[in-house]
Amino acid sequence: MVTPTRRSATAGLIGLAATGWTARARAAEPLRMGFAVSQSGNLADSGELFKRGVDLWKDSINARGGLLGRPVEIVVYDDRSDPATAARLYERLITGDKVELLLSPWGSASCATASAVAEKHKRVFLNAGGASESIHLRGFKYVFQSAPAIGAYVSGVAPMATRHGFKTIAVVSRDYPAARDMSKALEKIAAENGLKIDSVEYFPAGTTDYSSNIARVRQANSDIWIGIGYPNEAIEMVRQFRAVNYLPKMFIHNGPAQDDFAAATGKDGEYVIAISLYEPVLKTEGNAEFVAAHKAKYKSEPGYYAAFSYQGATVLERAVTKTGSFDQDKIRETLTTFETDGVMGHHKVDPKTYVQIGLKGLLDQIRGGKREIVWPDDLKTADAVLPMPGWDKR
Amino acid sequence: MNVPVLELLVGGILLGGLYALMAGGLNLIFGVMRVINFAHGEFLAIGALVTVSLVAGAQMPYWAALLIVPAGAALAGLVLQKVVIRRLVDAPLIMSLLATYAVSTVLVNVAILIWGGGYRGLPGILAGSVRVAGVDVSQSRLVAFAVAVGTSLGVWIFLRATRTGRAIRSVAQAPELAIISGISVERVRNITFALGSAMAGLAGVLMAPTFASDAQLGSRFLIKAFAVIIVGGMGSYPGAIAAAMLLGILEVFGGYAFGQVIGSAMLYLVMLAVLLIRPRGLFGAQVRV
Repeated sequence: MVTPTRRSATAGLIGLAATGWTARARAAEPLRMGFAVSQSGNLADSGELFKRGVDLWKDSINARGGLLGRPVEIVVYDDRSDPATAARLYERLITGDKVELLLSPWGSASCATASAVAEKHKRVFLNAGGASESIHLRGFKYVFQSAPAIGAYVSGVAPMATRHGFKTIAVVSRDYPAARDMSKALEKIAAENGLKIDSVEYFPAGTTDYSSNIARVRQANSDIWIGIGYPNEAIEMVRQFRAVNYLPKMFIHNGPAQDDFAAATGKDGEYVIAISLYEPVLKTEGNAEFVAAHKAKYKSEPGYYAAFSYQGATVLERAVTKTGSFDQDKIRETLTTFETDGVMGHHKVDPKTYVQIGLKGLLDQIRGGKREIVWPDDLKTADAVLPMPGWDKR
Repeated sequence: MNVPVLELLVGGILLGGLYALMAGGLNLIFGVMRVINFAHGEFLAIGALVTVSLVAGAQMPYWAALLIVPAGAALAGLVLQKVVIRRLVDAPLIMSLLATYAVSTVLVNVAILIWGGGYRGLPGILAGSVRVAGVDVSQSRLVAFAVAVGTSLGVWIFLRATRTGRAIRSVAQAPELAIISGISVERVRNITFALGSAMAGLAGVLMAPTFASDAQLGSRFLIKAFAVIIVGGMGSYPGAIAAAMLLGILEVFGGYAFGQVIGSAMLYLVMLAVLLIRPRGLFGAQVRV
């Protein structure tokens, strides 16, 4: 007969073993982190690059023993480049998949809708993919920007214009929140620096023809053509400039900051100014390792889309590590004043709006098929050649 | 400020040429088989990507791509027809619509696997302009326009003047009667689908020099190609050419006057108006295949 003492001792042993087992299982239980990214629709190409940054970060964190000791698993959905779909998917990630951490989707429009869902559920939302500042001007408490704010994109425009004697600007951008913010930022810059904005035009996503824009800007004879959008738009703008024998004195766009631009445009893309937010040559923290990992996995150097998501995931990782828990309110508290250095530079948010204020922009010029940093002066690798030499002088 | 009418007009007509090029094969396949081929855009995109690989990668002359790519697209189209479309062509329209949509999704992802997520281009091919009557006209678009008009005219003549063409038309108009008359409907459909796919491939070759080629290139044009077909009259070639010019001109002038957002919307407003007022299309009644 088993005495009560022996029985309870056995039970206690089993209990202890079970507790130990559960604790170990809990420690090794994967941490699920979710996000949506455009894998189809008009942002699918850049979305794929954005996703690479997350995948590289996942490889890196798991090689370093996981986040707070737990291996990281990524749950990813395709938002079809559609902000409404993105919102639905974040609802699903939070309530259905019950992921413990969220990363943002790609692009300002999807970030705007997805962040509203996260805020509703009081979940920390690190905006790694949306430059638009308007995302953060809605009084949200859980939404922090790790992507460079739009002001950083255009901070080099005035110094370049002043240095080369350019006075007038034509804005031709894809119609999305970041572009509207950029126009506002440019208006302020223009007013402060004695520049004149001749025209502001937007075109819908999926536009492939710029004949009407070219006709208008050519007629106004604006010195600077500036646009924000995606690489295909910059490629097609340059091809069409060349095809109708038109050239502004300076063409600035963020699309040429991706490697595709120079390869796809060849000589026609030379001397174009790229709004860049990241370059593989930067001596920022962890950048050498990031570039090496990207090269090893994808056989190319990373552009800024991959850097955006890598920076975002890194900021989140460090904020969680500093907090020491996955408690959303505690992570939120940490993020309000959190500063760190990542591949793109220094992360710091405005204490009221949580808009990114630490990261600064760069301007590159395409020279010999490569991007040379031409602004700011302390980072420059070449002097800008402006006005852009004519089509027959290349 | 003077409106640069001639520059805008040329821009609009040449843009229309691109739309016509895209719409041609789509129109043929719909006209004969009553199949709305959602994968048409992917045939175009892959055609453009293969062109880039052949010309920029394998250093082949551009004219070789003009022959190889449409031939390859025709073959791929034939396979698609034999494996998928043949089984659905007599089913309700929604079946082939869904099937081609599925094929389109598969093709986009296959293209991303092969060529990656980025954009490619063909620098230096037909890149410049020629000056005509004081206007700088894009070489690549001029060629695309000429080919669009040429192929549409060629297909139109082929359908009217050759035995196979007449067989295709009879299948389009009355499949049962065509069978009774001894026409192999299966063969006609194979030819049609292959020809339509070749036209998508050709459009891809001609668009590769101007546009950023990626797996999504076709989808950026597909809706406009549908608009062209609806406005021009489904199955009508001269109608499609005229509608393509009309919509191209409207888009460019509209974009100049009211901005691109409204300029593009005008195209769809015209499409909507045509669907409501004259669903056969502007030229649908007079010049049907």
